[in-house]
Amino acid sequence: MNAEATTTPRPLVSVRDVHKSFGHVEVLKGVSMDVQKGEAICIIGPSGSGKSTLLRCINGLVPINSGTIRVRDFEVQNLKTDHEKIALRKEVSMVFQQYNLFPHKTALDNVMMAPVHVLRENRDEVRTRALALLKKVGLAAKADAYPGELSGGQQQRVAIARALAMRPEVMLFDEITAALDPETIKDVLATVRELANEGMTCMLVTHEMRFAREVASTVYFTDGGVIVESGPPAQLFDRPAKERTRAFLSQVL
Amino acid sequence: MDAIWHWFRVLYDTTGINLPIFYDAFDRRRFVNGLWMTLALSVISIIASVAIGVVGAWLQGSRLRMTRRVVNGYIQFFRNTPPLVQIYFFYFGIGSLLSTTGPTGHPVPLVSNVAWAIISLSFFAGAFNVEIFRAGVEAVPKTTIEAAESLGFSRLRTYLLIVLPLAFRISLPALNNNLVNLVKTTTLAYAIAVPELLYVTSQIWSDNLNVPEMMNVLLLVYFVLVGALVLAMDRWERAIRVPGFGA
Amino acid sequence: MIKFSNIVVAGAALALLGATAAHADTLADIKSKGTLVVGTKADYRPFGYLDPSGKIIGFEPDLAADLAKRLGVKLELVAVVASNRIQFLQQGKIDLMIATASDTPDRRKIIDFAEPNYYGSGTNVMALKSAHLKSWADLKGKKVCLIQGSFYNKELQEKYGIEGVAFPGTAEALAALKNGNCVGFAYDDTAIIGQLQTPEWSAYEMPLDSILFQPWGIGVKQGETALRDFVGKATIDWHKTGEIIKLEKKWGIKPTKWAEEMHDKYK
Ligand SMILES: Nc1ncnc2c1ncn2[C@@H]1O[C@H](COP(=O)(O)OP(=O)(O)O)[C@@H](O)[C@H]1O
Ligand SMILES: [Mg+2]
Repeated sequence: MNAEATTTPRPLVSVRDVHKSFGHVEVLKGVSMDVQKGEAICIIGPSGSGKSTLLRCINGLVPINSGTIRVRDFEVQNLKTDHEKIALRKEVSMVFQQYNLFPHKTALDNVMMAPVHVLRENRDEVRTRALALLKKVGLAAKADAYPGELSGGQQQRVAIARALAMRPEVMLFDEITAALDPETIKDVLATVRELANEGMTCMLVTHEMRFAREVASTVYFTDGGVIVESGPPAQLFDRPAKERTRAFLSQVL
Repeated sequence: MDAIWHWFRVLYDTTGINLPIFYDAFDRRRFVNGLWMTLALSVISIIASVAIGVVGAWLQGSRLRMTRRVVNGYIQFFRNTPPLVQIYFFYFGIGSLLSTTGPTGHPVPLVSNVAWAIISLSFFAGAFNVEIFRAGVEAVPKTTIEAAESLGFSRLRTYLLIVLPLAFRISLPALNNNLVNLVKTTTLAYAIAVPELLYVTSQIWSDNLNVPEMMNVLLLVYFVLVGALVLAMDRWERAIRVPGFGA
Repeated sequence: MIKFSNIVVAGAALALLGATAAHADTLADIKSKGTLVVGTKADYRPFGYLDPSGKIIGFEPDLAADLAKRLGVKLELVAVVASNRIQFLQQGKIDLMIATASDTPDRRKIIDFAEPNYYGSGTNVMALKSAHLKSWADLKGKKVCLIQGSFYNKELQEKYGIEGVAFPGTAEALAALKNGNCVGFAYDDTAIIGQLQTPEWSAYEMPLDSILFQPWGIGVKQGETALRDFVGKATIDWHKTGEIIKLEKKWGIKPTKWAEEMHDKYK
């Protein structure tokens, strides 16, 4: 391990043998993966295989039963107080399937809230940055619109801007296009692609196989709480080693 | 002004409609003071009871079972007993315990009747407000709260900045009803001699034997008072309404 | 309108007079049956209340007893309350009413009162002895407990500048006084006297001169002039001989100026 560390850089996110149960149901049964800084990885797999749970564990939203999760210098399983978890969340931002914008705040306020209230940054500076982020996701004109006045795709792009406003080290995306109309998916994916190309470390749970093939350096296929198979997209999509992977791909492709 | 006051004297002399709150300086002062007292009771109790509702709903989401039990006990107590009995309980029950002895050996109450009225009215309406806000809090989607959490908001900040503003909008119609009730319930302070509207009015009609006139005045004043509250709440409800959220 | 109602009242009065005139007069009846039936209070210490054996005693029963003695008949006391005392008299259940009843023009329309008045009550305050109240002026700006709807509330506030704290009933006002929510409780002096005679209130007193005097009258059924005049003569006697003042002393009632004045007047 130490000998390896001198040759390959230390991963930004390191997940080791993570087990997670809800009650008597074990949802994650020993999951391990490494994500290097600047890398984009995709996680695919059938519904209920524990993909969302894994992302939520990395963000510290749900505690794990055993194993370790390290994000930069944070040993996530050891974070106990709200205070410690908040420190982690400044590094790890998450975007959800249902956007989860704050409905009583405008798009601009949604983006500004966390930096102002959590990072306690200067409001004017945050505003400038938030407007730039809205412009980046193509919604500068909608800064004053409420979530209820935006389409699903627009809301999701605001949600991405909101997550980026925290200047995280890692972005977690949980099926962010699953609830969208086909015509708005394109814009959202373009935004994520741009981020990945700029070198943002991204962990994406997605059903968009073409997109995964395009942006991911590594694709993980999960089923029943374990990683069945992983590898570069060309290998995993075109020459899957496991029968279960093949079966899954034949259904979705 | 005097001409107007005088007109009511003439009204009494010619028609027998006796409204001394206009032509009699003593009664006028009593009545105006009573009106102020009712306004003060209403405004202070509204603010305090809403604060109790907000804090209570927050404590109900506590991770400590003991805290939740205490809040539930409080709600049960104040929701299941008549407010008049509560006022008596505070003023005569608790009030007799909460007194010190003055220099001449008198018992000196630590809490005045006005303060007891405000305390018991606030707790009474507050118990309902906790329930109202709790329903509002529960209607806020878990995923919205999770999003706030993932952005690094603390539990308290999530509650204050996200949950509460949304819960408020959801709760507003029910809150309106409860606050209207609270304003009407301030009349119970009459029982412990708080000189609010009903109290001063009944004094005036006892002294002048003009019960029908004062009854009408009383009814009208409360109608206007509650009407103003409803109007203000409606305005507020519309002002904070956000597109695509709530009714 | 006014004239018409006058005529009605006058007519009714005439009819009543006629009815009673046809009847044998009550004074004669009392003498012939040998019993005088008097309605007194049984819950208004010390004017009329129950002793431990259940007998009605007090200031007014003593007056009733004196009347019976003057007539040479036995006395029967009937407990009455404010809401039934006038009906009892009108229905003949009692011959006389000596029951702390104020002699008012309204009541004179339906019953007759013997003249002069035998006693009366004023308004006073009940306060802690340690409060050292000397005069009504001491109460200016002070909290004073009242009963809602009492006729003296306005005058106390307007003329004496007290800060009234009025409660629905006596029990609440007394509780508030005890809690120290007011420095005194303004009430009928005659009722305060009774309160002060119970050990619970031994630390309290009735320190002021009573004001707003309301005379009490002994009531007879309307038209019973013989009985009325007999009682009137006895009353004058009571004032003349100082009987009323003696009874005040006997029943622990603070001597009133009114009783003294009546004594001086008929002396
Ligand atoms: N909070 C929870 N409580 C109980 N069970 C849960 C909870 N969250 C997820 N699960 C269960 O865990 C399993 C994996 O869920 P999830 O991680 O959402 O899967 P995926 O995102 O791959 O569809 C499912 O069976 C789901 O019902
Ligand atoms: Mg999922």
